[in-house]
Amino acid sequence: MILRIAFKNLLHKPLYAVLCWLLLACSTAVLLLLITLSHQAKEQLEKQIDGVDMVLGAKGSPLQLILSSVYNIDAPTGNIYLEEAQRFMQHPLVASAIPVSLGDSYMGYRIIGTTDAYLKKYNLQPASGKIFSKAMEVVIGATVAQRSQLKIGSEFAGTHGLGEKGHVHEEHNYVVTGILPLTGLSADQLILTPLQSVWEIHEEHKKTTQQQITAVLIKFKSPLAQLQMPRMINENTNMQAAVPAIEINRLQSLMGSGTAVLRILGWLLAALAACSIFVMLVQGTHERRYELALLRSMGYGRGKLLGLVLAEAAILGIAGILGGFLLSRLSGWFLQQEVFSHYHLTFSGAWKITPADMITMVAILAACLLAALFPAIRAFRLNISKTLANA
Amino acid sequence: MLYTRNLAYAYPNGRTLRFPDMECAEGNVLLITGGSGVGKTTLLHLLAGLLKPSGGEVQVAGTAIQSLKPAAMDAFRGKHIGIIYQQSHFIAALSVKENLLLAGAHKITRLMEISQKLGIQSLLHKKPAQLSQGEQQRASITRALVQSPELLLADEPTASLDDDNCITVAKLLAAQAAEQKAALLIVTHDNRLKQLFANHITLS
Repeated sequence: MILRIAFKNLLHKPLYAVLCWLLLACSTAVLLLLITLSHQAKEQLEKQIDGVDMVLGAKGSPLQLILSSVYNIDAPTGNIYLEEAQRFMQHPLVASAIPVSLGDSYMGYRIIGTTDAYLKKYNLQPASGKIFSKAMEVVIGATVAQRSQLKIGSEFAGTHGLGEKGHVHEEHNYVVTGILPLTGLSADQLILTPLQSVWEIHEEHKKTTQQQITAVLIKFKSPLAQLQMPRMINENTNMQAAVPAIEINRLQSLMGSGTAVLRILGWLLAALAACSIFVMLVQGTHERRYELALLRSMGYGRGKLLGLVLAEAAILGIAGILGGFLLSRLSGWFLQQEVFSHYHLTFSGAWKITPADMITMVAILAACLLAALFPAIRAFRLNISKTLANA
Repeated sequence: MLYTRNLAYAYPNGRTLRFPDMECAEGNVLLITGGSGVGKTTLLHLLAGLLKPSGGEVQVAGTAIQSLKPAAMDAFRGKHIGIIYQQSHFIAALSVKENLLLAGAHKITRLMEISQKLGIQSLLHKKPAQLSQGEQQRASITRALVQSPELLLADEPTASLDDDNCITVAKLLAAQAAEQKAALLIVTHDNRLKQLFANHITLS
């Protein structure tokens, strides 16, 4: 009965209730979305650099080098000569070295010149067809296949540069030989081809000494090499060595201050929601003091009146948190569709509730109940005789 | 059923009211009259256990209620005492029916029976605010009766009613109290009621 009265009381003042609910839902959504995004971004970032200890590329920003060669987001820093890179690719401390060559794209999807080692690194096997075996054959990612309608055997011409518009290399057509399964990695949005294709199109194959690549993804045999090799390369060659783990940490700390501001904003919203619940209940218990006295006179104990006021806050709190949870997941899904796919980020398992989510939701509910405590105690201590006599 | 001895109440400002001893057996009606300010409502609140007396004894259905703890008093009041207020209070967010069943949802058949007698069965689905003064008063009488209390306390139950309604409501109250063997105590300054009930005490 108490719950029913609490519920009806909220419906009796729908505007107030909706305002409180909206504030609660928005603050919950902001906080939960932040948790999901930072958690998922971290997971995604780390998944992608798994097995890459060092990236060798042209001089420039190390972060840019990592973003362009590992995450396939930013523009590359420039090219290096394969011959020069080979010295390090065949170094005894290097376990594996995967060359990548960027430059062209198709419908905005990057065409990466590489070797089959790239596929092996991510444990990729074509879901249909087979991997490329000679120049101008390509294996395409699942997302590329879906969006571009390319099938096995389809031919297409690449566009120079990484934008959607540019010079089209009409004289050289690629042939699709395989389609990769959906991985959730940036490989979904890539078109992979042997290095030779890139050289062929850009007519660099004439002299092997001039063959260029964009970067080399290197995995070391021992952690010791990680300490020495990047420094040696950066000091003694005109190439650059960047360590993904360091750059990603730097990126995360850069993003960290942004998320900190958003988190403060989220908690401010939550505080505002708690304040509005406080005001609503203080005003409500004052306006309805006769009703409270009446309940007492009909045999409802003081504890039940306390419970009634707390129940109103709890109903609002739970409804707000549920709304916020749905809102955060929906906006996460929307962001995924509209924004993150451009950054090759795929969020999965978004409907899971993590411990951090639970803590946030419980904290918000506790804030609601705390806001209701003063009006609830006032209801508990109501002087019924005086209230009824002054009617 | 109702019985008081040396009942006194001290206001917070120090003024003390002493009430004459009174007694009301089950099925009987006791009328308490007096001008405004003589403590009629205070007496009613003392009898209902809403206020604690500073001295004396109040017995309802064999229980000395002045010594009950607040929680026990709330429970006792809910079970044994029905109160009809001068101004009708309802929970605005609930329908009339839900308001009348606050004391116990299982009393639905009894509610139907009484609301038919009082002619408010067509109003049950409305919100309290949609009822007229007279309808509200009949609804609050119904609410007090639904509990089947042993003691019915009425504070100016007829003040807001016209002559016809006043007599009807007063007779109805008395008849219902007699029917369920409840003691009925009416606190009023309404002289129209004096002609109806023989048993009365005037406070001064």
